[in-house]
Amino acid sequence: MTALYREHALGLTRLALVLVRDTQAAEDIVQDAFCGLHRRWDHVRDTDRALAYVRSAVVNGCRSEFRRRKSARGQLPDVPASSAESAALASEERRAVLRALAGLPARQREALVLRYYLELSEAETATAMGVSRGTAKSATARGIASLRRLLQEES
Amino acid sequence: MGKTEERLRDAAVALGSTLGPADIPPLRLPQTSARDSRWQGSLGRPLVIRRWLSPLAAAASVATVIGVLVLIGSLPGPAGHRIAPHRGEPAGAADLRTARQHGAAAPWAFWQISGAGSSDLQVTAITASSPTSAWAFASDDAGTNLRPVAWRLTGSAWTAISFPGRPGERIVAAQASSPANVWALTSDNRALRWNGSSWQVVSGFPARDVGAAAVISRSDVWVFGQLDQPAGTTPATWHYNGHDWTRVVSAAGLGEASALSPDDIWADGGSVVAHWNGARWTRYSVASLLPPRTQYCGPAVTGIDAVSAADAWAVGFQNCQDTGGLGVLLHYAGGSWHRVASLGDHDAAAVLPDGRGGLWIPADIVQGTDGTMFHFSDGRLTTARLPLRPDHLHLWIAAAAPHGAAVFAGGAAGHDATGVVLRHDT
Repeated sequence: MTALYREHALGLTRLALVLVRDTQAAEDIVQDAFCGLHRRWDHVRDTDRALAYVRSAVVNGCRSEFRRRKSARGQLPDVPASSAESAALASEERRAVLRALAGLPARQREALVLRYYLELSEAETATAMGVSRGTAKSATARGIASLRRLLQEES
Repeated sequence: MGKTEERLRDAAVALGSTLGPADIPPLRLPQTSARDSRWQGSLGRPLVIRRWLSPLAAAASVATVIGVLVLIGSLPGPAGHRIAPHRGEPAGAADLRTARQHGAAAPWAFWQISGAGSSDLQVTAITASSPTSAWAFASDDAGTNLRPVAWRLTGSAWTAISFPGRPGERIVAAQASSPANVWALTSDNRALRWNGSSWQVVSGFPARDVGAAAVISRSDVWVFGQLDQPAGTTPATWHYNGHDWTRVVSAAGLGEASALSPDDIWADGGSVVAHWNGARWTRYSVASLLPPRTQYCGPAVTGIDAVSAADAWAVGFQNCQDTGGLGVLLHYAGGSWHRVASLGDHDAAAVLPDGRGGLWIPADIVQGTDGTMFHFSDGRLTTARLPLRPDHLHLWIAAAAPHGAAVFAGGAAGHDATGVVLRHDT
């Protein structure tokens, strides 16, 4: 499992960061996901299956984090950008896209990030989200439609 | 990849790249036992479980999802149908008005979800017992914990029917053997049955992760799904005899099923197609007929239609990461499976009889922008002219009335991806 963590922790933390926009929360979510994998390790020996499990746990963790923030503050968070993030997102264009992404319903946001950031197949996206392939397709299509609309409204 | 997708990827990659290997802390595994640690995260955050909603909150939750399935357009067909009047102003109506100018070569009718909460609903299952008797189910698509909605088609109007769905529950498969024997299987591992007057939960349903069902009669129901076991998920099949559920020798697992009689059922899962002859399942690998498997492509059968024990159709898709891949049409004849047509860059959702010896194949284009409805007849593959603009049209599910008297397809259309149901009358 240490090897799996060494190989995939960075990618999974980046995935969580894109989903929750908070580096500390992203790191915690990935740690929690690997703790969950640790508890199931006897049942999940296959590396591909282990990666699919932990990726799904990360997506779930991000969903919980969003829910927690939303209930704590009554609205979705507007996480202040770190200095590193500010440098990387110098373009207002990118900021606008990430703002719009954060405004999407959770399922649509997850589908878009898994499909177009991680470049997973629809089947893998569905597995990571814990939904059927049809739902993953639907969430992707609706997410793109919503994102397009939000970006048009903003421009 | 479209412009919006490219912008999203660019922004996400830029944000992700703010983290480097040096930012990743070492793995911290819990010292507590597995039993103790089930109830909190590694950082000690307690998990909160909401046990139930107050009656008032539950009622409010239901009230927000009473969307309305509105007949938007019924294009002039041979019988001279008139375009029905609007009953509401659903999202995406502008696209539909434009679409009417396209005309159509066949009598397609379509309906669109409209009303409160409609933007969070997706059509997830359809079943039909005749062209004018059908059910459509819509479920929460946005993770907002809405309850599923059930509509019944009687004649040309859909009516919302009281359905004992739970918050966040999805209808994953629906099948009917008659208007008074309609089954719905849910994401909460429940089976519900419409007896002609109300929906009832079928007790003792043992399935997990249901993919498909085959309803022959009230006392002959097959359910295809998978079980999560210590060694991983395994395909599983259950049979209901009207009183008890029995787990039987597994067929193909998650996927589609098409049943003709108690001893003639076809089912698919992955690159396997299976036939039940009343005594045993015979499995056929169609891996060599599907588009190539590569490091990034996991081809699979995505739909099946049984004509007889010696005649069946299936559609498959290459299922590649990001780029999608190719679709194919397969035919079982002469005791083996053959590839009969390529569907190009399309992901076929189903294959259905047209009632005249041909087939309907609803499909998405793989880059996620345009969908289409193929028609296959006498060895020729053509594209149907639908009463909806093809851009931003997605068709994910479909059902045929017995004997191919009508075909229904469900998905989403328009810039807002509003849920739609299409019907073609033979």
